[in-house]
Amino acid sequence: MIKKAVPVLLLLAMLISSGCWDWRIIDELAVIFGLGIDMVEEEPEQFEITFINPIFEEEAEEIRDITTIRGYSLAHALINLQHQRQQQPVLGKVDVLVFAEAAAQNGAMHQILRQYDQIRDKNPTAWICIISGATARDVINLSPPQQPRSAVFLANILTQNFTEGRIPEINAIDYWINYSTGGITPVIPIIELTGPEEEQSGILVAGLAIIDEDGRMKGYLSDTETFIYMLLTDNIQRGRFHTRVDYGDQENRILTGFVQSNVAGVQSRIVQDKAVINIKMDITLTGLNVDLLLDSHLKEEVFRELEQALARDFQGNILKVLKKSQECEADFVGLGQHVRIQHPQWFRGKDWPRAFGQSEINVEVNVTIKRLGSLLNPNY
Amino acid sequence: MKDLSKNGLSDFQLIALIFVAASGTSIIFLPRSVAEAAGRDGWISIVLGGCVALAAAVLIYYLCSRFPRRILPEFSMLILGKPLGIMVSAAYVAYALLLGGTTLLIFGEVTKTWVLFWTPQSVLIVSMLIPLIYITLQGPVPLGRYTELIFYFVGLVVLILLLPLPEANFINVRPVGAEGLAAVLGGMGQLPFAFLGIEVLFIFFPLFVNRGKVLRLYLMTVMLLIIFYTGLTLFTYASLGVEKTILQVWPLMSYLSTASLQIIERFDNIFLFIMTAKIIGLVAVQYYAAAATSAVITGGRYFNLWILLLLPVLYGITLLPFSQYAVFEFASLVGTWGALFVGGLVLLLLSVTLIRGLDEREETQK
Repeated sequence: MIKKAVPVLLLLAMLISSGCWDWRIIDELAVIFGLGIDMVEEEPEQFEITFINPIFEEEAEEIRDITTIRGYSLAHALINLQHQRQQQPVLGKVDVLVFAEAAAQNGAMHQILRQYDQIRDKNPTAWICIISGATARDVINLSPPQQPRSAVFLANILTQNFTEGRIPEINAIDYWINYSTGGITPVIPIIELTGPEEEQSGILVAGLAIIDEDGRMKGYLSDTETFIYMLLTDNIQRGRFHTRVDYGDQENRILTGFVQSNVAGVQSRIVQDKAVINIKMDITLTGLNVDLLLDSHLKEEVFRELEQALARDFQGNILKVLKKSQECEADFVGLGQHVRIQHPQWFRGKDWPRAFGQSEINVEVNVTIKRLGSLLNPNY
Repeated sequence: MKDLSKNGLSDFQLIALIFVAASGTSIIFLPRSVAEAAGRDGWISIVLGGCVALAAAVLIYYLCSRFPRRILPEFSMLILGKPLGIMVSAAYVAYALLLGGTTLLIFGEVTKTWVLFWTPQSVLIVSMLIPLIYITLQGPVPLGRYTELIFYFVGLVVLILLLPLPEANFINVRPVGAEGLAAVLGGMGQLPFAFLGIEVLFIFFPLFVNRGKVLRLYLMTVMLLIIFYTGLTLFTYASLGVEKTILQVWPLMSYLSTASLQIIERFDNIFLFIMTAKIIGLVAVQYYAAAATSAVITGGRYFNLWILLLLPVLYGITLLPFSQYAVFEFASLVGTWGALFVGGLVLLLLSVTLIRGLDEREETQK
């Protein structure tokens, strides 16, 4: 008897295990791909959140649905969204969260990200970015010809930039990891719209926003400074750079190339209760195209002189980025982590953002060029 | 080839059984609990705690090996006399049920939080109890085979757990040792629940075919457990950072959610899916231990009856605490008292054995 009953019971158990209480029919879900968060000018405590989700119904005229809702929090906006939707909004497939610059500057972005972090059914690896010179709603409303679903388009652009070593991967969980970890603060990609005023349909990655210890945007890194950030944080993967250098009497020559590898060492000491940080970087470059007039570049002196010129150029730019970091009291490079490791007793209980602002930072750069372009005299 | 199905448990089944019995739900929150006490040196606490578990394993083996044909209730009655032996065995039954019940309770909690939010806890538990009872009723050899099967799946779990590693930055676990010895020792206080389960050797020792290799395999399994716990804790710290880890109720789940592949988006859900089978294995081993002990107390009979009688007790334990914080407090209580009980039991039985000079090894060989 029991031998017959057990299989029946097991089959019943399988039915129960499928989770009847948590069933959700996919057709009844509004799978949100992206969120755009703006501030409401007349009501500073409210947010304006724009949602985009694809439409799969055959009879639908559009392939996407965009709705803008106001609320006092993300959850509140979701509840308000439900009031006007025939489907249940879900955040598990969100690809990107776009924040207006004003929201990033006044700390509202930090607040929304905290709320997002607490939502159970979310995508923790969703990209985050800040739109400059337009609203987040404008970004979500974009209809790029390549991919009408603006959130997917934006996520693809950010992913491509990350793959090519131009920006770090900053998703919702990375933001909180960098924010929570002592001795480092987060950065967030900044995007801009491209195209003529009334017909903007493209997006470009313009740099990185510097976020301080209170979760507010304190400044930004330009495109060139972002490259330096990537170099400093060893995030550079086949990263491409562009600069101008002087070579003998040939001044201000354009030079582009790829970073093959970068080994950065950070040493620190404490002098009179102040951190003195020494950064030593060994950068290996390859595939350099340089606008120089040469008889042949296959000479040691050409390589050495270019290496020295590039080392000076990198060193200057690195110091500029670090100075900006100190002025904002936002250690986005994470030098504080090295100080914490090397001087744990001193670091403990220290107000690092303040101490970082007063630190002395020295940088030494060595550049090695592996190969130049295929033309012996590029400016032939 | 030997027919092990009749003779007992193979060497590999020994490793699988002990590993499955000891590695439960604690790994899902262990990185946080040790970090709360020992900061970024939490993983050192696990290594040191593991050394204590190794020492305990040696003592457990030494005790069991003196009575190669008896299980805990049998040799405890022999060592302490019948009344005291029965009391000790009854306490062991309560302990095994509490350990199994608490594991089910925590697993229900994480499943509800992570995937089946609206599914009643009772449904989750009952759906796990049904296959559990079925496996346990089949006896120790099918149970050993089941744990063997689970052990292969654990290999898959290990692969899944390695996937978020590209996100890891080991700067988060440095400087090593800066938290101080007191903090590291404090972190060890969080470990008992993680290592409880290795004592099932009390019940399964006579069933192992190759008893000569038991000590080596047993210690190897405990070491595997230490590597498993330490590795995962290190990976979690390196990926999330210690500060973020401390903020997480289920840090391992958050660690897993940082990774995604084109073909699989939610490793956390796959991990829970495999863990379900593993938790059933753990509770089944403890439940078998409880039922087998109860059967010996009642004269070596009524094993099947005890399987059914103990079920409401096990189920009742899963209904005990009513809120999330109470679950963790309860688990900590079970861990601490469980470790004290197992430690005290081994020391008591071993010292009386040595004083009375009890040893059945030679007798068995004859």
